[in-house]
Parts: sequence; structure tokens; C-alpha cells
Amino acid sequence: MKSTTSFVLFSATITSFILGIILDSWVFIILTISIFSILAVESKGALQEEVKLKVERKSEKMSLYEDDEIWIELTIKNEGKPLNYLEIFDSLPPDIDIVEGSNHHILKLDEKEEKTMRYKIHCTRRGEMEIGPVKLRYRDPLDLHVEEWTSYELMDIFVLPDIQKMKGVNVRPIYTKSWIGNIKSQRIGIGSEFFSLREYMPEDALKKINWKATARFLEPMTNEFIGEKSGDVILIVDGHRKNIIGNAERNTLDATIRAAGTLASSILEDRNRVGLIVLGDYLRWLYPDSGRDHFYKIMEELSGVKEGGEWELEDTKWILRGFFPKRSMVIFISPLLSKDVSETLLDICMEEHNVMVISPDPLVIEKEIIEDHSSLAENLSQLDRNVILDKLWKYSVVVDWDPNEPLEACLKEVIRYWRRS
Amino acid sequence: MEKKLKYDLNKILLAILVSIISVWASTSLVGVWGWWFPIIGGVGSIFGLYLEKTKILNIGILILIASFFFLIKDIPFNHLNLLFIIFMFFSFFGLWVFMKRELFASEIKSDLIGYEGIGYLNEYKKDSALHYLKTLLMGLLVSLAGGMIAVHSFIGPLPSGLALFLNVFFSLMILFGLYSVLFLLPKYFIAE
Repeated sequence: MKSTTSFVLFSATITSFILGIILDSWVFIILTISIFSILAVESKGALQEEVKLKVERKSEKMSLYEDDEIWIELTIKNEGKPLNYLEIFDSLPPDIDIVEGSNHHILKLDEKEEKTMRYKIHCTRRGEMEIGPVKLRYRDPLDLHVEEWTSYELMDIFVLPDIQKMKGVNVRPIYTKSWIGNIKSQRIGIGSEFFSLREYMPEDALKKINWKATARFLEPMTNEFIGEKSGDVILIVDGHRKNIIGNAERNTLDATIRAAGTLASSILEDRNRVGLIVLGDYLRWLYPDSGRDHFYKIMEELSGVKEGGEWELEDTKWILRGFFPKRSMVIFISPLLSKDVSETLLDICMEEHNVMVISPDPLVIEKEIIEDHSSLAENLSQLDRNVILDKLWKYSVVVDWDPNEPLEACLKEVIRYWRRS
Repeated sequence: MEKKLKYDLNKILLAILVSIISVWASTSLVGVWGWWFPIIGGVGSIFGLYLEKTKILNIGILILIASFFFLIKDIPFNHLNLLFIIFMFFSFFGLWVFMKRELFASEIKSDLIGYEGIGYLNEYKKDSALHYLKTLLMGLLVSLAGGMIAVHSFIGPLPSGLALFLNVFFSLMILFGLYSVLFLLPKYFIAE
């Protein structure tokens, strides 16, 4: 393909030739010959054969947290004739910044030669980021011949929401299930905390025999322990459009998602099972499970949450009833702006779930982004919010969370109060 | 810092060369109306180079070349003037391509953070400089050959437009023949 430059030079050749004839000037004729000579000499710069390139992209990891950085490696192998001036541009989504290296290079590739370009990216926003396609352009140095093509080598990277580590507080379900966990149940079972002594039974393991007690009672005695169990926790993330306040950088949805991620991490570390229901652009859910792989599944789901307007808390009732285990702990994370959810939560309680509501305070975020806010309006909104929270306290644990503060501190206070009461 | 300084030095060198050539072009035209046109073109192209605007650079160089050639259109037709015109054209053209390369390198450099991958850019600059020199030399030889053919075809005032047209046509044919022999034929003899 000829470039604009070659078109301009060709036009200049014709123009100077015409001017030479009109003005009867040999200077323009010599100019014609000179430009023509350059076009003729540079004509060998055009690509003669089909370009065969193999493009591969690699990354040290496929998921990272917000504000993390990773290296991306793009390897280009020339499987055809030598290419001297190959311009490469690896397309990046707007939420990704380059902090080292570049996604734009010009390379010289000999036959069978392989070159790698590296760059480090910084991801500022959660989400599923698609890196690519790779845009390639051959152009000779005089810019007379240009060939462009695209390699659809794509790579998806999950930018997971930033989470806080909770060390001092454990959110634990009231109802425990039969599998082993960290929650001390009201029953005898497998655990580490001593409960009582009993007579030795033939199927008891030898290591359970309390030898001191056996010596005292002159018959074999066995230790009994408090059974440590785990439970199921279902996180419901509210991504309804009406519940979102803020701008692209700071909003209630991001705060909700960070709270969900933090809770999922803490609850899974406590050896419980965690399920997820997301009320966003789609109604998505993950059945409760445990382990590190499940944590990443939850985080990937959370990273892709977008606001929606179709699904509300009421729609989760049939999912909870149909697909999720009974006697689970349901944690509803929402700024509670849209409509009264107390009746739905009451229905969920009636189905033998214990309910916790974590509400990122939307007024805090609103105050941050609006410069001249009316204090009267703020007070009224705060009163409204207090009424809703008081209503929910009747049958659930309510955490009124300031998103600027660590969730752990807020939860610790509320859980201590709840256990006392 | 050193790299940055090096790029700036390239630009300074190119700007000085453009200034020299445009001033030279203007001084060789003193007394003719519009002698200051080459200087305007030179200043425009230097602005384009420093502001990193390819369009301004192209327009500046175009004004420089066009004004120079337009203003000297009546100079006598002889060997010395032929050499002078061809060398002037290749000086302008050479400066233009080197300035364009500098802009392209600046574009790549502006996307580069740190020194990861700077080797590719340096390799490109080295390769392209050699390529330009080779192309300019070959072009110069071909146009000198073409010019010489033109000079020896006729000396004196041009008889008519038609004769001039035929003359140029045959000159270009000869050039094309030369080009074919130099570039196209060897490909048939080089084994794949």
C-alpha cells in the first residue's frame, strides 16, 4: 500500500513536470527527475512477500488486585522474510497505565528471529480487562510504503477488587453444618478443646486415651472434645442502579464489592463455605464452597460486577429457596437507598437463615464528591437512613459502615454488641 | 538524562542545518523578490520539529523547496547549475527525511517509560540513518545520470513544449532502463 508521503511525492513529480513545461524551465524538469529517482530507488522498500509473524503474549499472572502492577511480555517471531521496520502497538484498555517499558515499539526482525517487548502495567480499576489486539505496521523509513494488519492475540486479565485483611474479627454463622471447621459447636466431636472424660470404647483411637485419668480410675478413660464445625455464608451484593451514588472513581458499588471481597476472604480463611449472589447487570450466583480456588472464583465474579436495574433483593428469595442450603448466614451488602428491603429480609429470616446487613454509608461518599452540600438535606437523609437501619435491627445484625474506615473495626464493634445483647 | 540530551542534540543539529540551508538559499536569491521565502519555510520546519507536528514540518519544507526552486527557475542551464540544483534538492530532501525520522522516534520515545526496550529504538535510528544515506546516494546518482542525459540532449533555450516533453519522456525511459538493470534484473540471478 502506498502512503500519503508517496502520493505527495508522486503529485510533486507531476506538478513540477507540468510547471517545467508551462514555465519553460529546466529547473523543474531536473526537480521532476530528482523526485522520480527517489521514488524509483525506494520502490524496493515495498513488501514483496506475505508477512508471516507469530505473536504471543504472556503474563506472570492472570489476576491481580487493584493498584497492583504486572509485567506483560509480547513475543513476535518472524517466520517469513526479514522485516526491517515493523511498528508494533499492543492495544490496552483505558483503565490500564504503563509504568515501565512501552506497548509501542519499532523492530527489525531477521528471518526466524524472535524478539520480546516487555512492559509493566498498573491497573487502577477492578474488572475484566482485555489486552489486545496487536496492531502491526510495516513502513519503510521514507514512509513511502505502508502495510497494516492486526493480530487478534487477546488476553484477559482479572483486576480483582482491593480487599482488607481481617485478623481480629471473625464473621461466623450461627448454624453449623456437619463438616469440620473453626466454629465451636454445642456438640461433642472432632476438635482441639477438651470437653469431658468418658469410658473407653473399643473403637476409640489410642491417642485419645487419657492415661492420667486411666491410672486414677483404674480403667481406661477417653478424652472428649468440643466439635469444631463450619457453616455456610451467602453474600448478596446489591448492584442495583438506584443504590449507586458517586462517580467512576468513588462510588457505593465499589465500596460494596470491596466489603464482599473482604468478607469472602475472611470467612473462607475461617474454613466456612461461602456462596455469592450478585444483583447487577445480570443475576449471577455461585454455590457455597470453600478453598482458595473458590475464593478466586468469587473475586473474579466480583471484579466483573456492573450496575443493573432489573434485579432486586426480592428476586434472590427463589434462588435461596431453590439452590442454596438452608440454615445459612445471609449477608446482604447494600447502601440501602432504593426501597424498603425489610420485608424481604424478614422472609429470608423466616426460611431459617440468619441475616446480617452491611451498609456502606452513601452519605459519606456523597459528601466527598459534592462540594456544596446542604446540611439540612444531609440531616434528613441521615434520619431516613437511621429509620431504615433501626427497622432492620429487629431481625438482623446491621453494620453501618463508613467506607473510609476499615471494615474490620466497624464489624468488631457491632459483633461485640450483638453477642452481648 | 544522557539519552534525552542526545535526542535534543539531534534536533539541535537538524535545526542548525535547516537554518544554514535556508539562509544559504535566501542569500543566493538576494535581489529577487521573495528571497525571504526559504527562511520562512526553514523557520516553519524548525517549529514543526520542536513542536513535534508532522504537518507543520511538511508544510515548512514544502515552502522551502517550492520557493527556492520557483525563484531560481530562470538560471542558465549548464553543468555547474545542474549540480547545484540537484545537491540543493537532495540536501532539502535529506533534511526532511531525517527530521521526520526524529519526529517518529520522539513519538516512540514518548510512549517509553524507563529504559526497557530503548535498544529497539536505538537500533531503528541506526538502521534508518544508514537506509537514508544509501537511498539518498542512489537517488543522487540516478538523478545526476538523468540530469546529464538532459544536459547533453540539448544545450540552450528550449525549442518548444513538445520537444521538452519528448526529451523528458525519453530521459525517464532511459532512467527506467537503468533502474531495471540495477535493481530488477539481479533478483532473477539470486537463488532463493
